[in-house]
This record gives sequence, C-alpha cells and structure tokens, in this order.
Amino acid sequence: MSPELAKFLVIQGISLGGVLVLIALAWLIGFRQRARILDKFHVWKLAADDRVGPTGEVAVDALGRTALAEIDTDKVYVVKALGDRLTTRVFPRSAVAGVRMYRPRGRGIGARVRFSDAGFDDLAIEFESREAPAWIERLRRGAWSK
Amino acid sequence: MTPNTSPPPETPFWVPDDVVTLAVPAFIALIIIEMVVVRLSKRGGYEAKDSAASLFMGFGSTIAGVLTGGLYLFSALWVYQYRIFDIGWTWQALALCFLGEDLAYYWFHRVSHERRFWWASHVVHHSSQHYNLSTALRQTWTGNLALSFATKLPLFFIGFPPAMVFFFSGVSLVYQFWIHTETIGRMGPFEWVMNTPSHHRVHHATNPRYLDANYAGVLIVWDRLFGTFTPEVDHDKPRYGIVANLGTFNPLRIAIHEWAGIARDIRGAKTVGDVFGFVFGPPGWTPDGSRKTSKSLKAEWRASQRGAG
Repeated sequence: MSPELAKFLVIQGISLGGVLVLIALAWLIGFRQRARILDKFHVWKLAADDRVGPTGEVAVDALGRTALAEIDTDKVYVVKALGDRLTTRVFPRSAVAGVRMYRPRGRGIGARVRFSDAGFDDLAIEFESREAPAWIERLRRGAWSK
Repeated sequence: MTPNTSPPPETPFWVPDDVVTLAVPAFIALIIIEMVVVRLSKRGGYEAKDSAASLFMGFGSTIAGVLTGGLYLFSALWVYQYRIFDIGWTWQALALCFLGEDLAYYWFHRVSHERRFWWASHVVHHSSQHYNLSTALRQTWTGNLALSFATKLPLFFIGFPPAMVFFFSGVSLVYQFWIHTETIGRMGPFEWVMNTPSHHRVHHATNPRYLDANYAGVLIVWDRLFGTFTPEVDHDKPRYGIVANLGTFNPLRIAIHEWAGIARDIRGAKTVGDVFGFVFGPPGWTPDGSRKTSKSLKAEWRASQRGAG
C-alpha cells in the first residue's frame, strides 16, 4: 500500500469516526423530535399555508407520518414527516409512479405510493380500516377519482 | 501559443496541502459546541437524522473529491501552461489571488444557482431544512464532474500558481463553515465587507424575498457590487431548504435527485430547444411555464406585496 493511500485511509477513518460521534451525540442530546400530521384539518391548514388548494379527498396515515390529498383534478398534495419537519410537495398526477397495497402488521391496510421524483422516498400510508379509501384504490388503478 | 512547461514557483514558506482536512477537528469541535448552545439556548435547531444526512454527504464528498479531483487538477495545470505572467509567492500576489479566487467563487456560486446543470450539483448543499454547522458539510458529490471549477480557470491563465489558488479555495471553504449558524445574530460593521451568518442565512432561505441572493464566499462586497445583496430582515424569518423540498434523508437520493430530474425532463422533451432549456435554463424552467423559477416566484411575491400595499 502506498503511503499516500495509507494516509488517505487514516484520514477517512478518523473523519468517519468523527461523523459517527457527532450523530451519536446529536441523538443523545435529544435532537430526536418527530413531526406528526394530526388530521385532515392539519393537512388543509398546511395546504392553505402553501397557497395550494382547494384540496379534495385527504388520507392521513394512522401514525401521522404521511398524508396525501387531491388537488384540482390532476395533482396530489403530499405531506411527509421528515425528522422534526413536515415536508410538503405538490406532484402532478403523472409523477405518481405507482401505488402498492399491503397488509401492515397490527393495522388494517397500507398503501405505498412511489413517485418519479428521485428526491422523494416512497410514501407509506397505513389505515386502521381493512379497506383503503376508495380514491386511493382508484389512484392505484391509475384512475382519477373525479 | 507555446506552452510554458516550467514548473510553478517554489513556495517560500510552508503552505498546507489541504486546508480543509486540517480544519476537520475544528469542524467537529464547533459542531459539538453549537449542539450544546442550541440545546441550552433554543436558538437554532438540530435533528439527528438531518445532521446524519449532512455529515454523510460531507464524508462522501471527500471521497468523490479524490475520485474526480484529477479533472480539476488536470484542467488547472493544462491552463497554467498558457499563463500570461509568471507570478511568484509574493504578498502582493497572495492578496490579489485571494481577491481573484473570491470573485471566481462568487461567479461559480451564482451560476450554480441560476443554471440547472450546475444547480444539480449545488442543490445538495441547500437540501436541508435546517441551518446549522452540520449543514455546511452537506456537500455535493458531483461538482467536479459538472466542471464547477470552470470559473477558477482564468486565475491559472493569468499565472497564479495552482497551489496558491487551491490554498485560497480551501481557506474560503473553511471560512464559510462558521457562517452556517442561527446562533450568531448580526455583526455590525463586519457585515459591510464580510460574509456573515446573517448574510448566509438569507442565501439559504426559500422565502421569495431572499431567493437568489448573497452568493459571496468570504467578501460580501461582490454581492453589493453586482446587485445580488439582500439583507436579513427581522419580520421575515428565513425558511430553509429548497423551493421543492426533498422527502428523503438517503444520501444517494440527495446526491443525484436533480440529475435524475434533468434526465427525466430530457426524455419528455419535444425539441432540441427544450432539451437545452431543461439542462441550461434556470432551475424550474419548463417550455410551458408550468413550474416556477426563482424569478417568477419573486415576481409573484413582489406583485402580492404591491397588492397588499
């Protein structure tokens, strides 16, 4: 191994150690706040703040981690708890790349919504009921609810 | 034009190879101090996952820098062969190189916000919705591949030794670390000339008032000179992030999402002009204007202000 490579690896090792220490410290100090979506009224307020709307059907995750709402006839309003922040986005219907239904443990049904935007993770919404809202089912089939 | 293949002048004093690496222990210490200050004062904010994403982006950027830095080094040395002057390591040259590097940084930074091809790299640095010292380390992995160093090449053409330019680039990066904080307020007359936390908070904000402003590296005078300076105002608290915020902490997604967006738009483009617009137009540009650019957001905001007034 060349001395330059050895030096590089040592520096990277120390840097990685520093990164892990900082993450652990942030967690230990208590920077673990989690944002939560309360209900559909909360989604309406967020949409109003974003000057988006009016929203149609709204689906909120049972644990308040995510929400999905219709806007107009061809857009969806997405809310996702990302750490201590609620990230909101408007996606055209065409950006919904797929919806997959699943049975979460201890809960009725879940929908995993995939977007074509690489900067947005799949959105998992779980419901207490055995059936997903009809408009989510229509979204899955690629049909719009209107 | 005949290449001048004589080597760069020897440095008459010790110049560190890599200022940024030397500063890493200070970065870590200052982040720890800031975390404690934030915890005690409630001024500013941290979130463990967000910081983890930022720190892994920073760690990944050092590896990407090694893998792709050769492109910058090769370009610099190639241009340096055709230098106009043989500039030595004098104090006057150091002062001029500092100013030149800072001016080149301003233009690199401005282009990185105003043209999507370079924004695709730089957006990484703006993708956190928090503003703290860990955000400073949320760095791109693709900057060298996007030739983001292009604005520095004239310095080598003038004849500044590559080691001198690299040194000041490092100094600039280290300087910009400490200004990523909400724990420091305004800094009086220091703000007239220098880039400060307040000026840089504006730069990271998505409020329409603050979009596309304060591109400075070390000296804020360039923004004042070129008309891009915007002061922080108390009644419009900065909201951090990007206009279309990310929904992920995944470092790989953070690193490539805008490049993927460009590729997706190109696939759907109908004309060559559209392709050019999607790649080199302002971020948010579309042929039909269906998305918003910084300019259109600012115009809407100004119109709403006039309406309210």
